[in-house]
Parts: sequence; structure tokens; C-alpha cells
Amino acid sequence: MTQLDMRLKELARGERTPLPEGYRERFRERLESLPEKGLNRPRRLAAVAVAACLCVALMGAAAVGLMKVKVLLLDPAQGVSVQTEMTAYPPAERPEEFQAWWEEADLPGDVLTFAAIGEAREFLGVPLRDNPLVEEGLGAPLQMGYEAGGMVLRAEEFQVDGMPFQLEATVALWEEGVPADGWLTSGTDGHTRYTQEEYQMENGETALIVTDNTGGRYASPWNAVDAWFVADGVRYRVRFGDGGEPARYERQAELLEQVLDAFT
Amino acid sequence: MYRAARAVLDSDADAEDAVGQALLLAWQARKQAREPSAARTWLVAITVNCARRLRRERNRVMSCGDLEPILGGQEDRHYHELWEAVLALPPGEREVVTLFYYEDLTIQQTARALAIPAGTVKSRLNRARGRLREWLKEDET
Repeated sequence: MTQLDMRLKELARGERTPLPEGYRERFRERLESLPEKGLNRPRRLAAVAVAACLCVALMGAAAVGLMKVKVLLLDPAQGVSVQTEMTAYPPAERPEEFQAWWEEADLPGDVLTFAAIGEAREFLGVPLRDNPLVEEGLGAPLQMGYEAGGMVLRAEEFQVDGMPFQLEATVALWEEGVPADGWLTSGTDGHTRYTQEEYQMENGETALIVTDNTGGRYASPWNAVDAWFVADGVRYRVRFGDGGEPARYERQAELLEQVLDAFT
Repeated sequence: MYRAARAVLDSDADAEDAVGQALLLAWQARKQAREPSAARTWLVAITVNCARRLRRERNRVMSCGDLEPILGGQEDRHYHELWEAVLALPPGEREVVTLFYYEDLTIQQTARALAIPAGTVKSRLNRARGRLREWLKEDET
């Protein structure tokens, strides 16, 4: 080892690397919140305690003609159920008619926005990046969906077990298979992928369930569990946020499994 | 772990995210850790991988701070600590310097952790030494 090496090692050892403020506390929290078990066990919930979550998924290609819309209702008493199935105009082609239909359909739940990719800006009225929803973290999946190509819709906040809980359904019509590793994190909102598991659906397709911390180290409502899955040849993405309680990953995964089951 | 992540990434916040991710991955894969003596290198390697992945994602966005080296202004800067000087090194050199000098890994361990040939570690270290030698001279004056 050269004199220079010795000197540099000596300096390095003598220095205290500056840590960001609060780093140690957050590190400790992370350590304490490490799950005892992974998420690799598809399980059934004994009872669903969702007050009123709505998961809407669009089925059918949006190329031409009418499209099918399937509404899933997560109900505390009944679990996940298919609420209704109907047809609508493909929003990418006829957004105004679709929106009119959407409002008239009076679907259960609090679906606020439907946006076809390509029309997202127009639907939201302001550029995505300037939209306050983006600031709240809700717009990030919208933006990701926007980048990926496909369709996006958004649900509002619900109460689950007395806690704020958010559900977001994003539907993208991918041309290829389940997004490769890294797609989730291709967004621009600081996503960090934590875990990834495959879930065998009853229709023979494989769903991909991913946990991520959309909000990074902050108490974000979107420490989330996502699922990508295939039904009727269309690829879907469903997201459950946790209201800022990262320890609820398993709970989110359970809910996702119910959605997946309901789809098949 | 933070230092290794920070050597790869250009922001404290990103480094912290990478550490969080690495922590969970390491926890989930803890049974794969072969022997306690290699655990440290293993953990550093996971952290570096997480940080690199994050860097690839972040490369799409350039912050104003990133523009500084391009636009100039680095020349007049004086670094009070070695760590500050290390952070100003090009990314590849920063990584090997951090693992070799700060994490006390050997050349071979550094190569394994960074998944690069040992020769590359040596050449990067050499280049970095040249820059740090200059810094040491300035510091002494």
C-alpha cells in the first residue's frame, strides 16, 4: 500500500460521513418494520374490512367499437364482487361521449376521474405535472400510465379499518407481456421497488404483485402494493395505497389477491 | 450502507431510498448470505446494486445541481473534508474510492461488490488517487 493510500485510509477512517437529518431514526424505523415473512403466500382473507373500495377495470381493447367495463366492489360484508359489466365507447377515441356515459352510469363508489391516455391532460384540465393531485402523490401513477401508454382511471380515498386507505386502478393496454422489472420505477416520482411476487390466477395467467414506496421515505399515502395481471388478453395494473402506513403491505396484498380472484 | 449508496447516487435522499431498498432485499435474502465474514461485502454489494438501479431511473431527470459540473464553477471549490472531495469525483471513481478507502474492502472485494474486473478497480483507483493527491496538496497548503 502506498503512502498516499495509507494517508487516504487514515483520513477516511477519521472522518464521520455526514448523514441526512433524521437518517438514523428512519433507518431504525425501517429495521423495525421489516416483515417477518415475505409476501409469497397467496392467502384468502377471512373477512374483508373494506368500508367501500371501488376497483374499476376496463376490459377490451380500445382500438375500435365499444368496450366492456367491469366494476369490482370491495364490500366489507361480501368481499370482492363483480358489481356490473357494461359497454362504453372507447375513451381514447370519443372521450366526451365516454365521460357522459360514465357520469350517467352512476357507478357505485367515488370514481372521480377517468382519463384515456392521450386525453389525460384534457380531462384533468391542467398539465399533469402542475396538477395538485401529482403533488399529493395521487397523480404519479397517472403519469406513469401516461408514459406507458394505455388507460388510466383513479379512485378516491376510503376508510379501511378506520385508517385512510386509497385505491387506485390503472389500466394500461400493453402490447407486450407483464411489464418487465423496472417499469414501475420508470416513473419520475421516486418509486422504490421493495418486493415482487408472482401470483397464479385461476385463469392460468400469472399476475405480478409488487410493493413499492412511491413516496420514498416520506409518510406518503402511496406506499403501495401494485398488481399487474392479465384478463381477457388485456393487461391491468391495480394499486392499493396504504395511507402512509408502510407496515400494511401484507394487508394490501391480501386485498389485491381478492381483486385478482374476482377477475377470474 | 448509506456511504456506499451515496457514492453511487448524487443526492442524500436517493441514497437513503437505496439503503431502504437494500435493507429489505438483504432481509429477504438473508439466508443466502454465505458466511458472516463476507456479510459486509454482500451487504455493500446489495446496496450498490440498489443504488445503481435507482441511478439508472434518475438519469432521466437532471437537477439543477447536476448542471454545475457541466456549467463550471467546480474549479474554485475547496473541499474541507476528504468525503467532500470524494463526492466530487466521477461516479466510477467515487464508487471504488468509497469501497476501498472508506469501507476498507480489498481490491477483490471491491470488484465483487461492484461487479467489475479487479483491473478496472485498480485503474479507477489510480485515476482517483491522482485527483485526490491534488486535493491533499491543496488541503495542506
